[in-house]
Amino acid sequence: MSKINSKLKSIILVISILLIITISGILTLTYFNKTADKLEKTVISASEAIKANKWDHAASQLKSFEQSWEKTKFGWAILLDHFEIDNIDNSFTKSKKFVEAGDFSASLAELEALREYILHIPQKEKFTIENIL
Amino acid sequence: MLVVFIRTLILYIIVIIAMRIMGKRQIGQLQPFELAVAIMISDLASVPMQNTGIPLINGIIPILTMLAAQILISYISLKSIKARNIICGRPSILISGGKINEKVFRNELYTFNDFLEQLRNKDIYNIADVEYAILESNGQLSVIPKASKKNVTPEDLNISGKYEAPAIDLIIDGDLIENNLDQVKLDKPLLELELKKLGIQSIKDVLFASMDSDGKLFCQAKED
Repeated sequence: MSKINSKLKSIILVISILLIITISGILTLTYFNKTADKLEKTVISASEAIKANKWDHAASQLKSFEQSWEKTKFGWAILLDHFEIDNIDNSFTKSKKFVEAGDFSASLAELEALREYILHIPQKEKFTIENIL
Repeated sequence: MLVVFIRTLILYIIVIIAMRIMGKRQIGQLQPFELAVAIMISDLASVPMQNTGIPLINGIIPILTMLAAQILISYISLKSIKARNIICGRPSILISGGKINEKVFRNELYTFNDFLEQLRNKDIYNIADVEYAILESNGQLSVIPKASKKNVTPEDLNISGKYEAPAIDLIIDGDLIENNLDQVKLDKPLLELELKKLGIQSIKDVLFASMDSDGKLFCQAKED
C-alpha cells in the first residue's frame, strides 16, 4: 500500500508541476497582452495628439501612461528581466521631456520607441518556434 | 545586499527541496542523467542568485521543470528495462573468467591505468587476482576476486556467525529519540536508571547513546 502511495505521490507531483507551469504560462501571456495593450493605447493617443499639435492633451496622456505604468511595473518586474523595465522607464522619461519642450520630431520618435519597447514584451513571451529557438 | 541575501536563501531552499525529492544517492552512484540534472539545477539557481536583474521565477521554473522531467525519466526507467538500457546504459564486463575483454575496454574508452587505479582502491593490487570485473552504468567498478583470493568468511570455516543488526540510536546531543526506545523495549525511567549507573544524571547531559543487538548500551556524556 505504501509502495503504491509513494508511486502515486511522484506521478501526482509531476502532473501538478506541469499543470502549474502550463496554466501560469498561459495566464502570464494573457496578462502581458492585456497590460501592453492598455499602455500602447495611451502612447498612441499621445502621438496622435502631438501630430495634431495638441501638446496639453499629449502631456495628459503621458500622465495617464505614468499612472498605468506605476501599477503595471510591479507585476512586470516579477516576470521579466529588469532591463526591459529600465528601457521603458528611460524611454518614457525622454518622451515626457521632449513633449514638455515641444520638440515635434524627437517626441514622436521617442514615443514610437516607447511603443516598441512595450509591444516587444508580449511578442517575446509568445509561445513560438522563434522564441523557443 | 539584503535583496541578494533573501534571493540566495529562497533559491537555496528550493534547490534543497528539489534534491530531496529526487532521492538519496551519493555523487559516485548517480546515473549520468541524474548527475547532469544535479549540476544543471545548481547552475540554474546560481544565476538569479547573483544577478538581481533576472527575476527569481526565471530560476524557479527551470528547476521545477528539471525536477518533473527527472522524476518522469526515473519512473520510466523503473518500469521499462528497454528504456533503462537506453537512458542509463548497461554494465560492461571488463574481465570475465580471469580474462581481459580487450574489445570492451576499447568500446568504453577505459584505459588500463584507470582500471588498475580502481582495483587498487578496492585493495586489489594484482590483476591476476580478479575473476570478474564489471564496469557499472554509473561508472563504479564491481570486482569478484578469484576464489583463492577471497577473504575468509565464517561460512568457509563452517561457523555460523552471530546475528547482528545495526545499533539503534537512543540519544543524540541531549535529545531522546522516543520512537527508537520502543524498538529496544526500553522506557525512559529505565534508560535514566542505566545512565545513572554510568554516572550520568540526566538525558540532557548525554552526547550520544545507542544500544546494539546484544542489548549493550554505548553512552558518552557531553564534555561541559
